[in-house]
Amino acid sequence: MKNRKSSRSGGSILITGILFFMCCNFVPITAANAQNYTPVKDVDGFKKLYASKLNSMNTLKSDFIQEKSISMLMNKLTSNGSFIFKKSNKLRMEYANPYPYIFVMNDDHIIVKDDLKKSNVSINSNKMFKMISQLTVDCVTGNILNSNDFDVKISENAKVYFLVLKPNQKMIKSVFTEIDLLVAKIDFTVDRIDLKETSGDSTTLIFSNKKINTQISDEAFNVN
Amino acid sequence: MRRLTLISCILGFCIIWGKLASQTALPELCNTYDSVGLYNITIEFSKNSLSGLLILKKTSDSTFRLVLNAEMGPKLLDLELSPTGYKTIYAFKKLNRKRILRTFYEDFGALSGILVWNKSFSIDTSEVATSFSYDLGKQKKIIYCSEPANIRINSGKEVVGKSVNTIFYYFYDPSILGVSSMKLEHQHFQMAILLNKIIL
Repeated sequence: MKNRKSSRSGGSILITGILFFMCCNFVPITAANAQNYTPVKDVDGFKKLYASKLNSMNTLKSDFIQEKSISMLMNKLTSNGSFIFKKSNKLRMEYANPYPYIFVMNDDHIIVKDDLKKSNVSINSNKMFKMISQLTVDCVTGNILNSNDFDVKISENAKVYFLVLKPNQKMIKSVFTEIDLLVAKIDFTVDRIDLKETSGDSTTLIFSNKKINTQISDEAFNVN
Repeated sequence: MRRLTLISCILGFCIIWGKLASQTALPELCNTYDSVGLYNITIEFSKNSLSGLLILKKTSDSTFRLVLNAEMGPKLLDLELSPTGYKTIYAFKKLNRKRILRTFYEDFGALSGILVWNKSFSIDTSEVATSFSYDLGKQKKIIYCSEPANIRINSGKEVVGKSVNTIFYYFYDPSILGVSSMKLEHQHFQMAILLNKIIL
């Protein structure tokens, strides 16, 4: 009986020990995460610097990975493709996997092409398309910081600026709770966009192999 | 007494057979081999078109979750479909109208077979096709058709009285199990739904 008691108390000591060990380790980790970013004090100064850096960016070409987190699914839905932006309002996102899909915004027109067909959408007739494509362009060009549609908090670490944008415009607010941007300090291009939805789902775009100001013909924004 | 036992045995067999037959009569989408189906969806309405990603998840024998996502962005619609109705879990403001949601329910309910789940049906076999007719009441019927002696459904229609509301088709790809694509066309207004299965 005594032995059983002592083994029980030994067990609980072990569990307490494990919990204590976990707590000791988790506290510094979470604290370190929180300390990863420090708030940018001179927000206006950052905005000016960001605008001046991105003013000189006329084109951007990159690869992207899109991750959709949908509450109903255990795993993220991942797709990838290429991203082309040309000033002032041309965007081409070509998804290669898991199936081909092309989205082009050419000023006031949107062209969507998938396996089944190609569709032309007037940007003014589809507010949703307009909002999402404009948000993507504004995130990439940095124009989003000049928008009155968001309250912005900016923090930084050694490598990136971390921008948290809380929408205050009615339509954006009905779809997104928050948009997070990671901006590379090295060239002020966007590394990552996190679109957090009111539904609880989220979409993340991760950019890589970025090439700034390469020659991109207007033909890239036509889809046959 | 023996006769009574025999009759009850035959009746019991008929009931079980009816249930089994009703299971095989459902389109394969409903008897999906995966619990989750991913589809590339295009909805054409008048001259507008919307494309995105559709996720169908079987949540129980008789319920499906249907999630419609814009390809580049947010969730537009999240419904739970059951044989008796639908529950809106999330709907983008523009889609959150009873008539639109009802149309989605009836279209995807017919395509998935959820509207006829566990319902009795009559079989009509001809030389060219076998049709499985489900009477939903109020003169409403859903009729699924297959080639003779083939349990794979290749088309269907929703009929009210003599008027055909929707016609739908199922396409199969030998390289994958089950339906590879589907098409539904409304007959009284310009709306079509095209679904293409995504293989991850």
